[in-house]
Amino acid sequence: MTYLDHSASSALFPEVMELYLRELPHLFANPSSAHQAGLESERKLKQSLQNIARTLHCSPDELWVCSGATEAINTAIKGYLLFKQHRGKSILLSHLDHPAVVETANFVAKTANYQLTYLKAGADGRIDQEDLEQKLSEETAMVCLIHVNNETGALAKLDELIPQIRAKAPKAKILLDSVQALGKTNIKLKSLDVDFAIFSGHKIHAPKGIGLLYVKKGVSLTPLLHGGGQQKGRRSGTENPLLVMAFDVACQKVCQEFDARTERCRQIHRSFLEALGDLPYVVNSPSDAVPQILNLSFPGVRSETLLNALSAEGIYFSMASSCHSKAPYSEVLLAMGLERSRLESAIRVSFDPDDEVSAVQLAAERIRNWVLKLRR
Amino acid sequence: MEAQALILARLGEIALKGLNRHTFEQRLFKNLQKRLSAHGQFKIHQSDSRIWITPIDTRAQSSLQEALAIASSVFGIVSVSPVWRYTDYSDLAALKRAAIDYVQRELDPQQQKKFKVETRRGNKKYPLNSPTISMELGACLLEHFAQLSVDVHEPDFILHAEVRDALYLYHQKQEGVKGLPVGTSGKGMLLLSGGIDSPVAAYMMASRGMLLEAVYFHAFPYTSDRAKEKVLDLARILSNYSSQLKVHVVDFTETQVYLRDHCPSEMMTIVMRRMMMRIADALATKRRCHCLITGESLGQVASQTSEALMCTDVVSTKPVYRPLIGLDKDETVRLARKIGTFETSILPYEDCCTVFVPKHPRTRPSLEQARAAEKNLDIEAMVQADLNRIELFNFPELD
Repeated sequence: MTYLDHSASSALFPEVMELYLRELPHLFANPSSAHQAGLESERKLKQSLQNIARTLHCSPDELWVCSGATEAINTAIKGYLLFKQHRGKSILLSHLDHPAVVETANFVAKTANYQLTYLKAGADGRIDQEDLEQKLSEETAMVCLIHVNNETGALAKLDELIPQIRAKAPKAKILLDSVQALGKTNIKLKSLDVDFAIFSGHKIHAPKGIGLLYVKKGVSLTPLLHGGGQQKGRRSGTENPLLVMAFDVACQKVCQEFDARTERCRQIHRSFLEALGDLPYVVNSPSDAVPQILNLSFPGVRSETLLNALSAEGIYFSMASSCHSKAPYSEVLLAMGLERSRLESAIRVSFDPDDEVSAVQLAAERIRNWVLKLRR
Repeated sequence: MEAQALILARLGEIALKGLNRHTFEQRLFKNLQKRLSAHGQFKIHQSDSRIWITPIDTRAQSSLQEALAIASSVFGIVSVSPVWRYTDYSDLAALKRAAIDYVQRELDPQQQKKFKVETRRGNKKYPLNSPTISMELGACLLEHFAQLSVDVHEPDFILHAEVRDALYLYHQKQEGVKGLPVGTSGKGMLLLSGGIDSPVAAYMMASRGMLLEAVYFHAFPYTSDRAKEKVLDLARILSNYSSQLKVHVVDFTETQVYLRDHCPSEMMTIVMRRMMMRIADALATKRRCHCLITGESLGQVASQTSEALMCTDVVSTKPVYRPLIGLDKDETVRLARKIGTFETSILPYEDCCTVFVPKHPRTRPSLEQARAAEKNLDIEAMVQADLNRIELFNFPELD
């Protein structure tokens, strides 16, 4: 198979597999147990969390381990906005955000009477900063930003957005969805000046079932999960040291090898487009998007049809316009103002440095083949 | 106290069938036997218009709930009751012991209930007569159970006592699906899509005793494997009612693309449906079906205007039954929920009808327009080609 859907989920790094095979048979004690075996589990977990914190430039105490990015997002938004009296009146977000952010914000707005305000997006797949300027106020409780957009790869201009928010809405908390950003752009949490950041394991070649919530020191959050009081009462539930160790291994690898991996993805990205040849296509991703994610349209061919055709040949990518969701077209692409022919035919291809260039080129040729066959 | 659990099922319409009654009852037996066999060995015995279902082996004995559900979903059965059978019934004392045991097993001691006892004495040799038994059991239960009181006019439940080869006690009646046993009304070919309507149409025809086969038009890569899976899931659910269901999946892509490229676009829906109807008709002939069945309802979508339906109807050589033709969508949805197909039907995977919808479909086409739109097509050849591109699925799947 030629798997070009790494942004949906990624295969485990061999190093992570080795870690599992090595540790799984005997590293099973509960890290909260008082005996030596428990202590050993706890020690390994703590060590890994320290490593991760060092890689991300924050303190280990600022990291909450969750079951995934969705839980992390729920914890941050609900934990900050639901339980204390209005911390401001409005939540700012956009249709560029992931459904986990949108749905959770919607729920919180309805439940606790916050006003939900959607920021406009530009054709470049980023938040319209003038619109942001207009909508920020003293009453803003939280602003949600997506670091790297999962559908287009667009990179948010954080060095402009964050100061803008801090200047106009000093009380607002900033939530940064960095799920697709880890390994695709440099992340130094300390110098970023955000209040919450979200990370996901299975996007960086670690297993599914782990996400991290960064909570800036000094920010108070009500826990979502109560119970045994693990993680200093912040997130009850037996911790999984092996998962945290896996995250650590994967995180270190994608960050330390960042330059080489990024360059390799650029090459693969280029080869893919070259192999499409003279086939008419439109790239929906902005020109400065991360090279790993490519969103493009083949007007005249429905995305689902193309996906079905290639899937039968073992070539896998993603649809931007999902017939499986409630909306017929991608919210992100709609927000960018794309015309119908592009909305209907948009696909997302995502690359990984370990992809074989020849396989990627072949995939592009097969896509080309099918587009010519199916195009009206 | 020793007691055996079994099931009493009551026949409905077929009791009225006169000389044909035997055929119908045999059919019902077969259907019931077949469905029950998946859960163990059951003995099925009939007397008058009632069927007694007795578990024989341990597997059957522990599957009584499943057996009740099955009996309630076999067409021809109007109601079912869970029953306890007591072999020790020689004298009044034994009857009383049995009645006490039954109430202990079946009734909630906390709930106040008014009851009466009705006795049927099938065994005319039994020393006590029915009114006596009713009275004695009634008095006995009244004495033993504080939560019970007698009310012969408006009881909360009636305890039925039947004296036959043993004492049978029951008080609950669950509704069955009624209808006629599947296999007593010929066979029909259903045009099955993944939507809400066609599975309901299938159920309605099965309830009139019709055996079913189905045809589904798949158009890879325009329609996804998930859409096909959805249709097969629906067939699986339907096979619970129709006792079996063959699904003929037609590879319709070539035909559909050809139609798209050789017919006026506004006539695409009509031309496509006429073609599907022809294929279904040819398949129905091959499979010895007496009719076609669709889930169409008048005016529901653009292709279901009466003009459009007339255009598709005429290409069939057999009657086309549309049991939903006069139904409101709400009613169809209610039925879909009842038969368990709704949740699967609403999964949003497109079928070939939606993928090839023209921008401006002709909603009230005339026959002349339909024929004119097809004039360049070698219809016979296209139908034959599609008949050779069929993948067959059988439900229920054999283990």
